[in-house]
Amino acid sequence: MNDPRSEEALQRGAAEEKKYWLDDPRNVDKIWYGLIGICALLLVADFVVEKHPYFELENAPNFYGFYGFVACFLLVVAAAQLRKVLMRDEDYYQRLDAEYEARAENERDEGSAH
Amino acid sequence: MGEFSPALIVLLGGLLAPLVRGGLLRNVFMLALPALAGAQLFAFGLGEYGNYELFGHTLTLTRIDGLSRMFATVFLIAIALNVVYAWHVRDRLQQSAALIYPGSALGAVLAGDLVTLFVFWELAAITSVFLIWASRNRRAFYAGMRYLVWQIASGVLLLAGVVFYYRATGSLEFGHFLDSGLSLTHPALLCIFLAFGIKSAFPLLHNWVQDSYPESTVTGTIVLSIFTTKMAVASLARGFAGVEALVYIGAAMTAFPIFFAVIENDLRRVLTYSLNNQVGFMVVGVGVGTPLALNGAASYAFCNILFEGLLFMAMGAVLYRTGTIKGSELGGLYKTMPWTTFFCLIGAASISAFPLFSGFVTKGLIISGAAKEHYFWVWLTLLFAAAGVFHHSGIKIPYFAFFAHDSGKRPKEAPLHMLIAMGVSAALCVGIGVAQLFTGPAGDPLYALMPFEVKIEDAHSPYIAYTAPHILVQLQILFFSGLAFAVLQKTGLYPPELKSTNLDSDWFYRVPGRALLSWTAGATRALWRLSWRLFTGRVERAMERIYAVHGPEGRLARTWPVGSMALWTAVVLGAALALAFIA
Repeated sequence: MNDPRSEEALQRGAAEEKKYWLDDPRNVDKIWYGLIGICALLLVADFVVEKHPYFELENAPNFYGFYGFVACFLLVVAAAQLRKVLMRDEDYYQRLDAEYEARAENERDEGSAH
Repeated sequence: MGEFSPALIVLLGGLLAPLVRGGLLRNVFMLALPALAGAQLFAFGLGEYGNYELFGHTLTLTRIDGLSRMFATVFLIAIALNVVYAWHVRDRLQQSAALIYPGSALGAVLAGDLVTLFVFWELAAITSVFLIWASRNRRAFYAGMRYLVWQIASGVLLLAGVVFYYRATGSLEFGHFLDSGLSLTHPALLCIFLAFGIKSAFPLLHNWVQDSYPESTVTGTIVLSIFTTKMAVASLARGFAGVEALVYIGAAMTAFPIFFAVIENDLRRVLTYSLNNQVGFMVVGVGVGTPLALNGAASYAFCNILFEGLLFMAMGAVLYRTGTIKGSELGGLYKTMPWTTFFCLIGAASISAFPLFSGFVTKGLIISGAAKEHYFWVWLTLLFAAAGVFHHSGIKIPYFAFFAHDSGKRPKEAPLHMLIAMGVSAALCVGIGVAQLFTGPAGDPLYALMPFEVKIEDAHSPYIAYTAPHILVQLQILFFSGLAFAVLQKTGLYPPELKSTNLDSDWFYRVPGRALLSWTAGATRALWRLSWRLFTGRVERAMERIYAVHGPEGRLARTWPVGSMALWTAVVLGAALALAFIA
């Protein structure tokens, strides 16, 4: 596989590269405001569109939007906490494999010494 | 071709493929196989084909009904797409396994009896591991071994279940198991249920997916991601539809993997968590068991194979071009891989069930199916999971690979054949998504493939995907989830991509389990040595005693004087004489 991160390529890339629309932080802001705008529209539309709910809860105004927002927010916050318990370094299992292999080798040597 | 099974066309073709000389010729040959099998599948039409006799039982190699036809169709499409995607691969082992394994899975889906099912089930297990080992490194070797343990365990359970089932019912037919009068707690059904459960990656039986799939090659992971789990879903749908436990198992499957997906750094591993979550939706559909929910499960599997495959393909292309798939090392690739980015976004929109994409017309059937049967908490969980899918597959995958902070990497666009495979997948995702707008719900070609007849009773039928409320609530849940992501990013609350390993249930057997095994092995060895020493000590002492008596210096080896010999002879003769007189 070709490694595009050779120093030379990087420097050449930085010098010659064209500017992309997203490179401008103002455009990123536009996306952000666009998103807020769409959400506001959906909020308004909620009062216009007639729904056919299965459960009472669905009648609450903007239930789906509210639920989606809270679900995603809590999901990320909870997952970030989960890291404290579950996160190990990248080579966690490889190191373990190496330890066992070394031990197995020792035992083989001992075995053949007997 | 008579009644030759479509599965065997792919399977035997896969065996022959390595013998075809020349890369291009072999590729063309490989591409012809799914086409031929597809022609055979549709030439057959519904019914049973290729009956054979074994030990006085009539077994059915190919049973085509609504359920198996739907899975078989999408399997064949996926096989063809994978051949195109892997056009550059010249590794015969991998090419062969990429046909034999899907061919076996196809055979299992089409199997009309339990013996045929078992044979293909095991074949799929054994042939798929070569795709993991095809990476040809130590990590992949270990992962492949662990994978094999799970897969074979499932096969052994299935075999045990089939044997028990035959003893209990005298039947080898593969139909709905509960129709036999046995309950789910009967050992036969419990074994089969668990065997299916391992392969569909039930919670706590799931981790072989995350452990092994990302260790495969660029192309191998895509093949793996498609067949085993969907084969299991098809089997569950046939054998255990309407089993309530599946509703709760499936709901758990949709919810818990998304937490892991948020913090996982390897983007292909993120997709394996997403795979668990997606199969969870299908399992809920199977558990609910109404025609609506089962149609939902089967058609969602159909669409999922296309859009999840597309996402795996996009990540494969990134790995192929940059040599890494870690979120922490990627970003900004849209600048030089615009087509891959575009196709990935279509996959992301489909899996998130955006209107106009395939997930939208199918996921709703499962969620409505559960809601209609009044599973309130399950319904809430599914909505949570749907938002979560959007979050990790819809946003995280494209965002961290193609946007986010600029990694400075400027790889070339993916090779043409990969773009073609991704392009066709993307076109199918959109095509299925918009078909209804042109044909009307009743004429939707996907609905025509569904296992149960599509009945559209009123204007609020879940089968009518494009209604104002359905579009509205779906957009609400998606855009507000997106808003949550944006807010978390802006406020810096979003956990960054970090080089890391996250522990999952495999930790139990990879660390304490392994330590216990290692300790047991050590203890057994020590015990053996001790008992050997005791034993040899005993034997040595016994030998010494025998030697003391019988050895050259021993009592019995002493030379006896002739006089005592004569005396003893006289004694014996005297005794004989006395005995003769008495008698």
